[in-house]
Amino acid sequence: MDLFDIPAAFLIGALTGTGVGGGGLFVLYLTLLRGAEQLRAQWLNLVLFAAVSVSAVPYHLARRKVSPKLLFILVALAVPGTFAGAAIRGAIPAGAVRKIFGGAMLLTGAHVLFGRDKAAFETAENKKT
Amino acid sequence: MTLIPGNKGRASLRLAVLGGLFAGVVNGLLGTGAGTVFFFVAQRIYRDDPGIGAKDCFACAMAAVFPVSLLSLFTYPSVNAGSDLLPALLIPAALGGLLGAFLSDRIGQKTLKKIFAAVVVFGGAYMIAGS
Repeated sequence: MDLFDIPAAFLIGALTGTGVGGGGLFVLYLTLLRGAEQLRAQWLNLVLFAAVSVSAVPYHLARRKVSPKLLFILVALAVPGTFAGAAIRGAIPAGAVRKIFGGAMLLTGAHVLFGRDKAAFETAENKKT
Repeated sequence: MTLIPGNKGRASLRLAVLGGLFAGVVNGLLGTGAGTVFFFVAQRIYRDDPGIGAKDCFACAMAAVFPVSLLSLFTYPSVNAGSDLLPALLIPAALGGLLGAFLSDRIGQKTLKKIFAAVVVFGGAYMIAGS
């Protein structure tokens, strides 16, 4: 364990909790700075993201409007999708997963930098809390 | 609040179904990314609903990604779960998540988003270019 792990996990958890983003940051930190293998980093990322969710989701659900029906549809359809994704992951080399992950990060970053979301967090309509 | 406002119900339902499936595939493959897809889907569905904002869409995405992440965990049977890193990271990550949720109502996120984007673009490019 590196002493830097603790503040890094705290900061990435905080970024995730604010809604800025962060799930992929755990993988980037673990693979690029800690030398973890890609699949192991993804597994750790899932555990850590679940930990962040446990603490952040109740806070958000208590203060936001969330449709239970939409939630149910998204989760129900994600279940078979998850197994399909895992099957793809098992069928390709870990190096390819790493490159796909890198591409996904690039797209995500580009979208955040240059995308035009109607629902920007700073717009007046979203000041309601 | 209804799932689909106005007469766009069928299109929104289709988007939710396809988005849910796609988010699962991405999360199953990469161990992350479902939240981004869920957020995009919720934004598209509620884009004409002035009563639903980005923070509501984010709450929906985060609530949906929690069970999906737990499920994804069980698709990694070959990964050594006994990580020495895990105990060190788990509690700080959870505390950070709680602080982040608390701060989400109190800080401007524009700059944070740009920093986040720059980091993931750099990291993504490095991962593609590296061996």
